[in-house]
Amino acid sequence: MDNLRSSIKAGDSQKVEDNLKRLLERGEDAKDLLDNMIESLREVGDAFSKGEAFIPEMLIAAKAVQHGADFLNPELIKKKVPKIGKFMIATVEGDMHDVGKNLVAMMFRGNGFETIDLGVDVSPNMLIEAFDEYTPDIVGLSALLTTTMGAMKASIEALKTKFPHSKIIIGGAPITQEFADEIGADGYAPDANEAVNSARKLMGNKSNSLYPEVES
Amino acid sequence: MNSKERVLTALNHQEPDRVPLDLGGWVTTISVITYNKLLRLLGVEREGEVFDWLRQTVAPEEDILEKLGVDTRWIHPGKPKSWTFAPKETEKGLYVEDEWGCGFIKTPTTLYYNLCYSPLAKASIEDLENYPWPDPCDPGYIEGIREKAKMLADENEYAIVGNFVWETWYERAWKLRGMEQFYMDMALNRDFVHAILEKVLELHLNFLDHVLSECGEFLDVIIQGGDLAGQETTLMSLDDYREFVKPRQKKAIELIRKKTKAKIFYHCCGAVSSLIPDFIDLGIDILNPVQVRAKGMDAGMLKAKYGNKIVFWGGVDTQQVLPTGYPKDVENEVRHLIREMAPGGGLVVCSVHNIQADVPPENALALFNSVLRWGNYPLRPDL
Repeated sequence: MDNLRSSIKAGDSQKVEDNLKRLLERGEDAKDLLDNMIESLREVGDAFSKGEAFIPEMLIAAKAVQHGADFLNPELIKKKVPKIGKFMIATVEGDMHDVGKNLVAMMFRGNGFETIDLGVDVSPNMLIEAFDEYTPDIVGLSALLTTTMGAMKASIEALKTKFPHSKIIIGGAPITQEFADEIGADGYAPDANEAVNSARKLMGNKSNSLYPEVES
Repeated sequence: MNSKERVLTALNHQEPDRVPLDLGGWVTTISVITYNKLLRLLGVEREGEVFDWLRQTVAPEEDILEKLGVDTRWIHPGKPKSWTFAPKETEKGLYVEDEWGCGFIKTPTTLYYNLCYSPLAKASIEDLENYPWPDPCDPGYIEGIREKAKMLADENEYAIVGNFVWETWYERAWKLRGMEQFYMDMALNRDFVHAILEKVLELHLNFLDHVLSECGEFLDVIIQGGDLAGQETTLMSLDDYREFVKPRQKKAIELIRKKTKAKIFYHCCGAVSSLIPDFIDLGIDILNPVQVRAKGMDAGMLKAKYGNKIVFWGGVDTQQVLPTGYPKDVENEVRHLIREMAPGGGLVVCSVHNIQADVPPENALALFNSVLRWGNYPLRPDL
């Protein structure tokens, strides 16, 4: 298990896969392995939030865990382990910046969420259509520019009007908790790691136990 | 004291007659949308022209610079002869490839061009040698710059600032590679990061040599830059900065020092406070844009820690105050900035980055008027 963790931190996807293969053969449970990977990613995420790890370290760990989670997926399906939740993310209309958004998407995937990435410059109408199609537990909206913060507000209004129970978290360089409160977002996160924490909180009981066993 | 003396005094960490003002630079200028509104507010009946196609900003005309009390005049390189700005209409919007082969798109909903194609996304170190690099000595870059710089020097009225950042060698590397891939490489493919940075730096040094041979003797300030930080922290660790970036900044600075006596202005957005000691160590004279809403970028703290070693150029918040405040809020922001950073000189005021398209023209005007009102030395006790 230590090898698995160190290969995640080194961002070595192939080694992550090799370790998982070995551990599964040894009889380890796929869900435990996934939980372990999530824990490793959280450690990197916490270091990132504290300014002890940076974009390169965060990116490679998130990608490695994503690779590992994909590798475990058939096993998890076989065991009927559901995803922790469904997360849909977009950069709002008028904004083409995607590095922060991609990092958040990776963190959610790595943390066991089914993640739908709608891309950049996504209009309120596109969000509504996608929400209707995917029914995510949590929606994440990203903006880097102050000029597109208005589009964030319009997106939340549109989603909340059509889907009053939707849960929306927002983030991006100019975004603050005050702004999130003002425009009716359910959560704000200053970084990708905090976004996952915020989503978990908003999901309440549903996220209390990771990968709850499903009655077969 | 004229504008030139005002700026030079502030840059030498002494108090001039008032805090100097800048507008019209690479990223210290104004969106064409706001500029046109500002012109109407000033009763000027004409439209501004886009000067920087990428950011859709203007180079304000002389009458407006005078009206606003701007103390700087900028020398920008010309357009390269080997490349033409020719946006193509595509399904998604207007698409342009710049002289480096990087693709940018402006969709109907976006206010300027954004990177959408990185030609070296999948390249190996070997591929770098065969890439069709632009010619850093293209004659178009220097067209007219000597004449303009000499004319300004002869007038001896304004501080002359050379915009010879050439979109920065550091950011050029990740634009060619793609930002995400570049930062992945920084962890997993470090030799590639060194190779691409070395290549773009080599071209940048040739460019600097080319333009400074033309007009270096006339410049008071030359700008360099490259964003190394985000809202909360630097994008890379201090160790990585010192391995990948700092030695190359040093090479550029060494060349600049040989070619001009101009002060060196370094633009780096974001929460960059942890890098300032290294910038000072490199001999960088001026830090821009002083993004005061980023973490650890409090004006008073920066002044107290580094104010006697580096000049602050910028500082009026574009993330909250300029777009969402009232003119009174802008005035208070400027007063606060002057109170914290102007004592002893060492401050040139402008907005943090370009004045964006969502800034009301009244707020843009308030920035300049507030410096004229509150920026006189000796500083007012009621600041």
